[in-house]
Order: sequence, then C-alpha cells, then structure tokens
Amino acid sequence: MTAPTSVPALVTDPAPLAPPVPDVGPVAVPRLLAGPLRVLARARWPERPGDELPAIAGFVESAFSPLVAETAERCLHARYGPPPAAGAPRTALLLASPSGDTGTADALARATAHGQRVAPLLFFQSNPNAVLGHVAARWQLDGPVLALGPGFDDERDLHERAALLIEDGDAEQVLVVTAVQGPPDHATAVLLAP
Amino acid sequence: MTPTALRNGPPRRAVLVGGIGVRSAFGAGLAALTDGVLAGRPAFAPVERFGTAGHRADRAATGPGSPRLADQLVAVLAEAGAPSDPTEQQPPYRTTEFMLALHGDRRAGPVAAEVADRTGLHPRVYTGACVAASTAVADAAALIATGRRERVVVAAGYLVEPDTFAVFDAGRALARDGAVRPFSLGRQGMLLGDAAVAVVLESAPALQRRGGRALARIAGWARTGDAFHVCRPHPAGTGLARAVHGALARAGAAPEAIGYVNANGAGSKLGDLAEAAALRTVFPAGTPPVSSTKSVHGHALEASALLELAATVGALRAGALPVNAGWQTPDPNCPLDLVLDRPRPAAPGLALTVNAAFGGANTALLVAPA
Repeated sequence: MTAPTSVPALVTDPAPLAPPVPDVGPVAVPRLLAGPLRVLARARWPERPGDELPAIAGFVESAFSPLVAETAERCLHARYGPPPAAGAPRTALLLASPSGDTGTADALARATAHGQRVAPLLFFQSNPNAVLGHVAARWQLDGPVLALGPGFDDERDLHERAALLIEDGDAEQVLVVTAVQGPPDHATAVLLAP
Repeated sequence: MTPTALRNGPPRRAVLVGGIGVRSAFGAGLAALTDGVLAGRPAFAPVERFGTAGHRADRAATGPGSPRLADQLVAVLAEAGAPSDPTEQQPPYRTTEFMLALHGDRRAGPVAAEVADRTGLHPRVYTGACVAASTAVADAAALIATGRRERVVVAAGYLVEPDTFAVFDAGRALARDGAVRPFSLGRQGMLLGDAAVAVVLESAPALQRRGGRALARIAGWARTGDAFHVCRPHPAGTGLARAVHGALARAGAAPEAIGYVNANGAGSKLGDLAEAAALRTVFPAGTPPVSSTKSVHGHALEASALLELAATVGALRAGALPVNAGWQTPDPNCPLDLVLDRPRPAAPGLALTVNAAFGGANTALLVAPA
C-alpha cells in the first residue's frame, strides 16, 4: 500500500527542516601495520575459585552477557581505570563465541516449546551485539561492533581480524573478548593496538 | 590491479561483485528479487510454517514450505558460482575465504559444518545481528582491496522460525497491522522475512582469470559504533552518519555522488528517526532518492544486509529505484526524498546501502555500477 501521489511533495524537500549538522567525528583512514599487534591489557573470567559475575540491569535468565561484560570491564579497567575510557583512541569491540548465548537461546526455546509467554527482555539480549552495546556505552567506545561465531577458532584468527579493522582504518585499537557459556563459563579479553 | 582513488592511505584494488545467488520470499535468483522489489508488492502473508496463536503479529515474508537453511545456502552458493573452481588450484585461489552470517545460537555451528561439507568452503561465521552480513562484506572488501585475498565469498541466511518470531513479537518489534511502513507516520514496526544470499567478491585479475563479468563494484564501506545504548540507536544518528562518511572517504567520493539510498528502514519508530537524522546529516541540502526494501521482502535479520545489497545491485542493473512500500503519511521528522508509488529511473552515481543493529553497530556500503 502506498500513499496518494499528491502527498509526497511534503517529504521531498528536507532543507527547511534540517537541523544543525552534528559533528560525527573523524572518519576512517587506512594504514599499514609494521608488525603484530601489542597486547595493552588482558583479563579473564574466572580469575580465581569462587569468582562471581555481577548482574547487569536488563539482562535476565542467562550468564552470557554478564560474562562478556565483566571480562571486558576487567580488561578496560586495567588500562583506563574506572569508566569511561578517557583518552582512548577509537576502539572496536570484537566478541567471539562459538555457540553464543546458550542461556538465552535455551530460555527462549523452553518458552516457545511450552507455549509460554516469552519474557520481553529476552528480545534485547537475543543477539550478542546487545552486551557489546552495554560495554560501548559504559566505556564510551565508538568503534565497530562485531560478533563472531564458529570458524574463528584460535587467537591468531582473532588477532588477524583485529589487525584488519585497524589497517582498514575503522579502529585504532580493538578489544577482543572470547566467551564460552559452559558449564563451566569462561572468557578472556585482550586490548590490542599497533 | 585497479587502484581506487583514496584521499589518504595506501593504494587499494577494486572490489568487484562477481556473482550473486538469492532465495527470498520472491523466489529463486537475483532476477526474482529485483522484479519483486521493483513491483513494490509486499510479500507478507500469514505465517503457515508454524503456529502464531498467542502472538501479537501473524505475518512474515516467507517462501513456500519449511526449507532447510543449509540447503538454501548450498543452493545460493552454487548460483553465485562460489564453490572453488577445480582448475584454480594455485594460491591464492585455492584458499577462497568464506564468511557466513547466521543467527548466533547453537544452530549456527551445525549449519556451517554442513555447508562446509557440501561445498568445500570453510566458513567463518558472523553473528552480529542486522549488520552481520554487511560487516562481513566490509571485511571481505578490505581483504581484497589490500591484496590479502583475491576472492572472498560472503553468504548469509535466515529463515523465519518460531523462536525468533516469538522473541521479536514479545519485544513488540513486529507490526500488528501486517505492513512495514518505513519513515511513515503510523509505522508499527518490522516484519520478518526469509533470505539466503551469497555474494562472490573478487579482484579484477581473479574475475578476468575465470572469464567472469562483474555485476557491480563495492566502492566504499565502513563500520562504526554509537557508544550509546544496548539496543537503541543514537537519536542523532551520529554513528551511522560517520559510517557513510567513512564509506565515501574510501570511495574517494562526495555525498553528491550518491544517487540512491537503500535504507535500513525497518519501520521501527526510533530506528527510522535515527536513520533519517543520519541521512540529513550526510545530505543537509536534501537526500537523494531513498527507499527501504524491507517494506516488501521483510527483515531477514543476520541476512538482511546481504539481501539489501543484492536488491541494490539488482536495482542498479535494472536502472530503476524500488519503492518504499507501505508508506502512508509524512513523518515530519523523516524528511527524506522517498521513492513512493512507483519506481524511479536510476540516475547515474553510487548507491548507498546502510544497516544498523543492536549494540549501536552501523555499516555503510557504496555500490557502483560495473
């Protein structure tokens, strides 16, 4: 269904309604890397027996997003102290997880299999980008947001993807988080830069 | 080697689209998709694949029956000419990189493994929601432009199924009135749609070596983040606008070079507002023609960006710009030059296809005629 032909004239001239142009910041500049990326900071979860995951408001049912957020938090805190990451260069967030958020997927599958109401909050956490948005907003990191699954099997693959983002110019450094929901749950994070 | 003009940075090689395979609600092939989007008739119908009782919405754009995702992906990879040519046994042709965008749950691994077994391609899976496939295209383009790869295959698949339908319905993301109305007042949200798409990206020497013909060129690309919210876009669209500027910088082009925008345009209240703000930032004097083809083929989640890239290539090749279907009433906060009522002739220039996702992830791809 479309509107009558007489109406579109109202929306074809945006100039009178255009707001002041906001500053979108510098754009990408490709570069050549001289060598492998350096590890600026690293973290893992768990760090010790009995290590606990703080809950994140708005994330329910599954430990996956808290696992990613806490591991990223520890790595970024080691480099920048408390959030935001003041003075950080443009930072990409790259999450690699071979099976993703199994806790959320299982909760969703249980609900649909039994004809139960699906918790609306599951919508927001039904893809791995959501927790990266939490990390990005909290630490004010506005580089690319990437989520990867099977096929990125070792650290070298992830370092190559991080290097590609930096060489291509969309990021100056990359926070790489790997997360596996168990049991046992475990995750690592490294902050990589040229 | 065909270097592209860049304002800064090392010289780059042209990234050509050497093949496309598509399965969508409009049927098999790029021609069916192109005909469908240019006809402007939404493919939404009551879902028959599974029960929708108890949900707020009941429609989606699906193909017939309940196809298997791995079967659909193998079919589109063959249609695109993606499986390795046995005559190309010398590096770098032997090691075609394969990126596959899928929903990031337990099903991704088995689907990827089956596709690998049946095609000989070894997938690296991208799961980043609505920008999964366009992020893969950007990565593929970067690999080819820098000479690291001669040929990269990007595929993506999403078939409407009960779990994602239920969770999007629970999140009140689906339009209860059965229509997707991007940038229109009264829009209620998105509707899901089937898609399996494969795109072969190649350097000019790789394409020439196999005697192929380019369908289009990926002239620019960029990926950015909003740093704003778990799931809401930045209301000023700053991250998306930066993605468009980044893609333009890679293409060595100005905004005026863009002759068409295939918008993300999911039909959501906040998402469409943010996108309109981003486009107004990039085009302060007025946008080029804009349409969201999600209004006819639905939102294919992880596969959406590749379906929209295919639709954009199809439109450029047909010389016509698809309509923004479902539109009813002007939204004063979305002052875009929407293509309404009937397709417009395509003006010379670049086509821009943009996508945005949860987490504040944004991508922009610039497509040039071959």
